[in-house]
Amino acid sequence: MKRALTVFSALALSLSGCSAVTRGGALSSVPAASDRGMFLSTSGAPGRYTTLGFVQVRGYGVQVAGYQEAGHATLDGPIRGALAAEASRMGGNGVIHIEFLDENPTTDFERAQAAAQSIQNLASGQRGVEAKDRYVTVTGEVIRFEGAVQ
Amino acid sequence: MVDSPVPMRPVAASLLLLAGCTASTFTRLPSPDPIRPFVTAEGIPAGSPYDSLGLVQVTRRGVLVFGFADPAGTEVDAALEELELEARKAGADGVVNARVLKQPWTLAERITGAVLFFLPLPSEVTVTGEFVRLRKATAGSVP
Amino acid sequence: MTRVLLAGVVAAALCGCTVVNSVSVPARGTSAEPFVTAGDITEPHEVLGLVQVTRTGVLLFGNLDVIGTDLEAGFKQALLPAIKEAGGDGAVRVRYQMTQYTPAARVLGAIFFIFPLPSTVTFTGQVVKLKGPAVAAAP
Repeated sequence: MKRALTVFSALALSLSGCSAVTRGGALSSVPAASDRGMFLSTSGAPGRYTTLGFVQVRGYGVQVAGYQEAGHATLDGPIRGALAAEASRMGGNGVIHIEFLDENPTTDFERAQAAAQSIQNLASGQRGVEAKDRYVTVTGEVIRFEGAVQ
Repeated sequence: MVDSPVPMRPVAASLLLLAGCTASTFTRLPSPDPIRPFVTAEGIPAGSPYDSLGLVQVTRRGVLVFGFADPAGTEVDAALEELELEARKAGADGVVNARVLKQPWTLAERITGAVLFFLPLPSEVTVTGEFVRLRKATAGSVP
Repeated sequence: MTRVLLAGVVAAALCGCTVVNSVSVPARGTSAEPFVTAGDITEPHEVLGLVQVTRTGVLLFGNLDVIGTDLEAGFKQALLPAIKEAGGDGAVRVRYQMTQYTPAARVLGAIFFIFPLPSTVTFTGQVVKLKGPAVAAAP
C-alpha cells in the first residue's frame, strides 16, 4: 500500500509538473500612455514608420538550485535592456514584430528535483548546488516613427 | 508457390521509411467565444486600441510511451489549453501573435519508439504570445 | 593551463549577460536596394514566392567569422541578392535566426581552437513585387 502510494505520488508529481510557464512584463499599449520611451510590440506599429534595421539579442544566465535565477535569461531583461538599447543606438524609437523564445525553461518537477539534489549535495558535502545554464533569444524590427507615437 | 518478382520486404521497408519522413501537426484554434480568451497568430489590427498585459511562453515537456501514448500532454492542444488558463489568470481578453514550436515525430520514429519501448521518446511543445486586453474604440477611431 | 582557462572564462562571464547583433537597412525610397520588413505592406503587390537563405560556417578561434554568418552578412550577401534574383522589389514577413555564442563559449572556442564553433544565419520571408509607381516613403 505504501509502495503503491509512493509510486502514485511520484507519477502524479511528474505528470503535473510537466509544464513551464515563462512570463514577461507588459509591452507598449495603444494608444501609449505617453509618447516617451521606446515603443515595444509583438504586433506592428500604430502609425507611419521607417524601418531602420533588425536586432537579435540572446540573454543568458544561470538557474541555481532550481529556483534562483542569475543573469539575463528572462524575457524582460533582454527586451527592455539590450533590445531597447540597441534600437536606441540605431536611432530608433520603437521595436516591432518582437519574437522571443525561452530556450530551456524549467518545469516545476525539474525545479523541485534540482532543489532536492542541491540540498542532498550540500548535506553530504559533495559537488555543491545544481546549476543550469539558461538562454533567452529575442528578435525585433527597429523602427523610427514618422511623427508622434499614437 | 511462385516467388514474387518484386522483393517485398525491402519494398515494404522503403515505403514505411518514405511514409515516415514527413510529420505534420494541425490543431484547430477555438472558435471565437465571448467567454473564452481568443488565441490568434495575427497581431492587433493597426489603430485598434489595446493594453498589453505581458508576454507568455508555455512549454510542456514529457515522453511518448510506446511511441504513441502521451501521458504528460505534449501536443499543441494541451499547450493551448494551458495558455488559455494563463490568459484568464492575467485577466486578458486574448493572446495575439501566438507562435507554436513543436517537433513532431515521424511515423517511422514512433514505431521505432514502440518497438524500443524501454527508450521513451522525448516530446515537447512551446507556445508563445502576448496577452492583450482590448479597449473599446472611441467614436471616430478605427475599430 | 587550468588557471588560464578559468581566468578566461571568468573574464568572459564578467562581460555581461547578453549578446547583441544587429543590421541596419537603408530606409525605403532612399536606396535602390530591395526593401525588407518583418511585417506586411499596404501597397498593392504581387507575391513572387517564399525565400529562405542560410549561410553556414565556423568561428575560427571562437571569434573569426571568415565566411560571414552574422545578421549583416546574411542580409547583405544572401537575402538581398536572393530578392533581386527573384525579381522582387522587397521581402515581407521576414524572420531570421543566427547562432549567438556567449563570451565564455567564445573564449573556450579560442582555447580549444582545433574545434571551431559552428555558426549559421538564416533569413526567411515572402518576396513581393510592387504594382504601380514606386513608393517613395515608408508605409
